Amino acid sequence: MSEVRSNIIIVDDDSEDVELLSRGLKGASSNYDIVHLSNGLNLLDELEKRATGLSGRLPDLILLDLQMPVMGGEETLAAVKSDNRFRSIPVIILSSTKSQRDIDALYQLGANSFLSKPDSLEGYSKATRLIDSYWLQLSQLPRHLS
Amino acid sequence: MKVGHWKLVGLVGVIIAVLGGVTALFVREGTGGTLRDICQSILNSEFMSHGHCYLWEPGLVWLHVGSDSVIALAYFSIPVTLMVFIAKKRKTFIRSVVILFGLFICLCGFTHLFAVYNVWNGAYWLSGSVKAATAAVSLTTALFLIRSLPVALSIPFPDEYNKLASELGTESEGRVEAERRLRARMEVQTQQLWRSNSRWKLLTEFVYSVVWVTDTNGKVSQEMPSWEAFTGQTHAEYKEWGWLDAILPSDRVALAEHWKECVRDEQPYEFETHLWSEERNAYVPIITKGMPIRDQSGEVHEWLGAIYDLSAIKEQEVALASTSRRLEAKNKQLEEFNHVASHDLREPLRKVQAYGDLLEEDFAGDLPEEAVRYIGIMKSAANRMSGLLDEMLEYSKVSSVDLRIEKLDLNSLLRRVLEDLEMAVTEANAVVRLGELRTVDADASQLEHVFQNLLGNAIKYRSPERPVEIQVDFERLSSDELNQRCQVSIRGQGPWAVISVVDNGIGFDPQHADHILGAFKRLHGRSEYEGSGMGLAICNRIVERHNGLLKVDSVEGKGSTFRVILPVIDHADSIESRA
Repeated sequence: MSEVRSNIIIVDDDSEDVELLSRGLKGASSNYDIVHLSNGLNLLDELEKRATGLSGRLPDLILLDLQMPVMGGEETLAAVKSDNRFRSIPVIILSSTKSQRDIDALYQLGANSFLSKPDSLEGYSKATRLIDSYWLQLSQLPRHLS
Repeated sequence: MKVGHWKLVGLVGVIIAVLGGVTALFVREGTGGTLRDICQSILNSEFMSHGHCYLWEPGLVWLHVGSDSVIALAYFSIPVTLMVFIAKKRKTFIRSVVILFGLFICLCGFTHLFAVYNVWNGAYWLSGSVKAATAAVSLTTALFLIRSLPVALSIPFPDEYNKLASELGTESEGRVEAERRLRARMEVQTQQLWRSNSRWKLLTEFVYSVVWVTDTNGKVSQEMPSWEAFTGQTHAEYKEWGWLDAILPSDRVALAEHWKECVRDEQPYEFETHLWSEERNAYVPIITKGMPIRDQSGEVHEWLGAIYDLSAIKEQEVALASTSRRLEAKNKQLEEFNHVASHDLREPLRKVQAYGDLLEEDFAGDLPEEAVRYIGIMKSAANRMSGLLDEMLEYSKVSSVDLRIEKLDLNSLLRRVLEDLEMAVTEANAVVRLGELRTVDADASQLEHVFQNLLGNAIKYRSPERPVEIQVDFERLSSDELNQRCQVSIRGQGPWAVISVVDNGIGFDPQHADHILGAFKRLHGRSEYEGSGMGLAICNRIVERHNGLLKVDSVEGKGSTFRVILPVIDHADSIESRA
């Protein structure tokens, strides 16, 4: 049985964080197709392309950083969650914020989960393992129409 | 009585004068013939002259005649001397005695004169009459003298007088001394009065504040130079109730009412208003205070008061408010900066930590042992910095989060804290005793944080020499009690809720007491005790935000006392607790 490869988009302008995350995810499973984008606008373009069938299928999971140039995480989240075509894609917010107020606001906007950026490699491994097991293995996510 | 005296004396005088005149005639006429013939019926008699008794023996005759003549002469001279004496001494008593005595002597003189006369003539009737007159006068004098004896005795003799005079002298010396002392005292009192007068003058005329004086009805009558200088009103303008015209028009009615009330009740007067200032050409803010001045009997004698110009204070208040606003804004900015900084600093730090891990994981096998050790140190430092950033964030959060002040039961709050610290308490085998705790007004989560820290510290900095004992007590103190008890200088109303956490730990040198409340301040090396040095700074900030005070006392080697001093807000509760 051929495994269905998980399609993940990481939106973060910080390439080192992306590297650490990718490494963590790859450590958890070798079954990922990971795309890296550096801001919200790029994500919306990419989603648009995929939705219209120009390239690939919609992602299974979006890891979204908050602080980015051009279009920040909050604005991007709002845009994704207000579009019926993309609403069901789980979005995990990545940030180092610990402010409950900020976190609450993000959930209000439709964030599916919140992940504090880990301090250590071990932290990254733990986080990505959790992401893998919960969001990519356990949860029954709706299948997107391609 | 006295008048009767003088009548008698006068009568005797008249008799003597008549007798004297007749005798003089006889003496003058001597052996003459015509006058002797005229008076023969009175003077001559059939009696034998006294010379016959002397047998006209010339020696005997001249002995008697000479002696009687000398006596008579001497006797006549005495009244003359006495006349001079009474002319000088105008004393009633002396005058009458002397006159009587003079008459008596005078008449004695006449008796001797007639004795001479009778040597040659036998006018015994006449000489007998003179003797009778003398007898009358002498008797009167004798009686008068007896009666006058007490008075005579009271007249001092020269030696007695000297003694009296010397006594009088001593007494008068005493009087002079007393007078000197009195004068000296008067001098001192006059000086004091003068000084107090000068002070008063200085106060009313030269000080910058305005001094006012009114009568018992609250009306101005005296001149008030300082009022004149300040308001520009003349005496004619401000006298009686005219001074009210210098008060801000909208305040006049209220001020006059309050003033009359105070005057009526004889109560101290105080009013804040605006007074016209001639110099600034505007109404300026002032406060005036007055007191009734009473005399010794307690009656109000006049009213005296002063006016303080509040312009400078009001300006300062405005400036202070604006500074305070600026400071608040600055603080806010700083807090935001702190928040952002601790947030943004975390980003690169995470990289250092994570890539340190990566380096270790991927290449540890290829690196020399020394390099692996260096990576370890780097990672540990990065971890500490991460902890510091957490604390910094916590510190800024404490300042920026809105406080939710509510009435908290300290008993349940501390029980919650102890539950959280259960592991540490058990591990240290610590005994925590809670005294009789009451309620305080504070933000629950923040106050919990404070006690978590204080109790955590008490366990952390325990002495290895004795089991840990921590006592938590509560007191409610007035500002004065608090200042006295805790060596602080708190102003403001109070009462204050004082929660003390006393431990028997290692303590510290009291000179570091203020130091340890600052951010990132540590008294011990990291190798001895872990910590960021932010714990007490956060506690201090929390208590400060509650308008309270965190006070630290310690004795090195004996233990520390931390006092959380919070203002009591609920009035009813404070009354209940006092009851």
